[in-house]
Amino acid sequence: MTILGRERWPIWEEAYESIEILQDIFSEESEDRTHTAVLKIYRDYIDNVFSAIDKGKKIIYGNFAVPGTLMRGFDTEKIFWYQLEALPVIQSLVGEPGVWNAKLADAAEASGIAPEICSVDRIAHGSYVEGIVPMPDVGFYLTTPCDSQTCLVNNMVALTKKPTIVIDMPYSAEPEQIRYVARQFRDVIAFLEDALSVEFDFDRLRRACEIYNEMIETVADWAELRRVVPASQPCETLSIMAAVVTVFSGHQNGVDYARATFQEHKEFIEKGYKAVEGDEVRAIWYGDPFWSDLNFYNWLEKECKVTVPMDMFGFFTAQYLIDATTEEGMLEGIAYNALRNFPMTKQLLGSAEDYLSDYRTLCRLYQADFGIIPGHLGCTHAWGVSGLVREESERLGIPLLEFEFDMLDPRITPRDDVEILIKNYVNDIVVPFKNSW
Amino acid sequence: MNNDSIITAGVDIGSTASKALIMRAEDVLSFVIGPSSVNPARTAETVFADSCEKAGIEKDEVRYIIGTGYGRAKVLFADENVSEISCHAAGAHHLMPDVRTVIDIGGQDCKAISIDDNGRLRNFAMNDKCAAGTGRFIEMMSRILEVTVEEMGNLDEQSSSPVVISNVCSVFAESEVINLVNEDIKVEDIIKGLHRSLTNRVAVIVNRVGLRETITVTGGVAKNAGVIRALNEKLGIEIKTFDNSMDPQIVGALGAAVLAKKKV
Repeated sequence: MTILGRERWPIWEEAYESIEILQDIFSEESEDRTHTAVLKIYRDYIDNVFSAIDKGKKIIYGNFAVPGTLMRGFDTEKIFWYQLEALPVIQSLVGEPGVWNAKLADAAEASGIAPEICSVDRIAHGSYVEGIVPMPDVGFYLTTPCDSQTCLVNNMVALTKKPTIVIDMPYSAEPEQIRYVARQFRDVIAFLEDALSVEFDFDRLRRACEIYNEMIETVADWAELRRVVPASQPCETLSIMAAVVTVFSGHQNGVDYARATFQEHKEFIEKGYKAVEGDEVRAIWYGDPFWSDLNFYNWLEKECKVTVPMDMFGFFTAQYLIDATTEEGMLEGIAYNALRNFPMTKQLLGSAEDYLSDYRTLCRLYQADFGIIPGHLGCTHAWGVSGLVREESERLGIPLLEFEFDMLDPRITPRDDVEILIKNYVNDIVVPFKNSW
Repeated sequence: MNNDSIITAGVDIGSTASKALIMRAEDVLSFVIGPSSVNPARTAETVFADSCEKAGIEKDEVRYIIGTGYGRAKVLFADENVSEISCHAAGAHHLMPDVRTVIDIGGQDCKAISIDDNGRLRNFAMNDKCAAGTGRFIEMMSRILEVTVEEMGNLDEQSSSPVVISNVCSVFAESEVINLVNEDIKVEDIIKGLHRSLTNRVAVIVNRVGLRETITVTGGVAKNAGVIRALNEKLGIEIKTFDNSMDPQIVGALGAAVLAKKKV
């Protein structure tokens, strides 16, 4: 298997081959627009990774919280922004469930990373120490409330020994804090221009912001469709929306994916498709997706009649548009998004009330029969507030299931065990509770 | 046939013990507890046949049978399978209508079950991955200490200076207990320490569903008075126990029979 005509690292080649096989399968299923779209954009992404290496583009390392839209202000013919968590996510989408990710998590541990560190960050670290990702010229990172992210960023700074800029994300998203982050973006632009000898172009940024807004408006329309009862589009789609929106913000591929997902959903509703046969049980998935094996969501629908109309990560993606008319408007809009619309920064910076308020809103808007807190092992901050969500759920009169698992490493809690737990919970608690209304 | 003469059964195939119970109306006619085996289907048939014989009835007189426990799918003659969580809740609520929290400590797992004022399940939490906090932990330790599980409850009462078992993991706790034995620590003090260690683990699970009175314990470990005392101490609440006529290990099968009665 080659990528762009050359042999590459096996992990990428396997992912690429899986994408090609899946593209063959889904090209015959014209109704499945979401899979078709996601396969295309991830294939493009892999092409872009190796095209960047082949063309000798300057590689910028970033953690997931780095706003992609901002990076589009640079000439993408000269630079490539590599998000450290990209490989684990791609593996989750198309790799054999958990296999490579587990190996890379082990590689990170063998190099000294503690097993308590979030698997996403361990795998990203493992990818670097195994030398199977492009090597950086510079680093640009954002602080997040996550200890594991802090660990990953510090490790990358120490290991790569490349010029790096880390910007500080404040506690809240009041106008003063937004301006504070926007000012730091100007420092980042100056730093990258100087370190990489590339120019930042605000006209390019404007176009990226317009693309971002188009994507967000489409995602908002899609999120509205997900309120429809009964659910018609499978919940697997939901589980990858946040990842796509994050990686492809400000990129045409993000718009294409959002449109495909929205269009598919609209058609499913028009045709009267139902995600599950019979009475559905609607759950709000309030935590990390089950990325170690996305087929899990199909099982959830088929065997438990559980639909997930919305999850925590999908919900916040469509909440804010960027004012693309002025330079300050763009930088402040991106700053606001970075503060409020990224996983963890949205939920775990600022008051816990934000976290609870989202849960309340989700349960009401999407007519939840119960909530699920999938307790990702490395997410210590989420564990810190899970008790508050439990109390909130009691106030709402909605059962809440909590369990421990790892979003990428299936060895922590095997899928079978989660399935038994959910099935018991739905049959023993949720259905009798729902029937008693 | 009026409701009072309808006979139902519950068959609970657990990881360590298998149980069957026959019920007519509100009365328990018989129950049988036997060891689980590598052939749960045959074990289910055996305990069910034995309980019918003990009750003096023919198998086909039983109108509705519910299978429960880990091996419930292997109760092939059952009319329905229901999870052990629902059955323990139903059984405990049947015996003790004011119960709100049920702690089921079985051979290889531990569950905390929360029940609402109407006897419906509110929530549950369980540990089925780690031997700590289960009957297996006690069994392992009884082997090292060379006392029976039954004796442990009584020896616990004689303790004057209980030790602290620092290891949560059963495997490491085993080594710790061996060291304590080698240091000539009194067996009763080790046992009390073990009971406290087990209940520390159980308390974590109970706290996950929220402690609400009245609270009771089901499962084989509930027969160990030392564990019940340690739980009273740890939770700061008196555990309500069933009267002597009801074996706490049979509560799951009882719940299955109670739920079966609702089906006919």
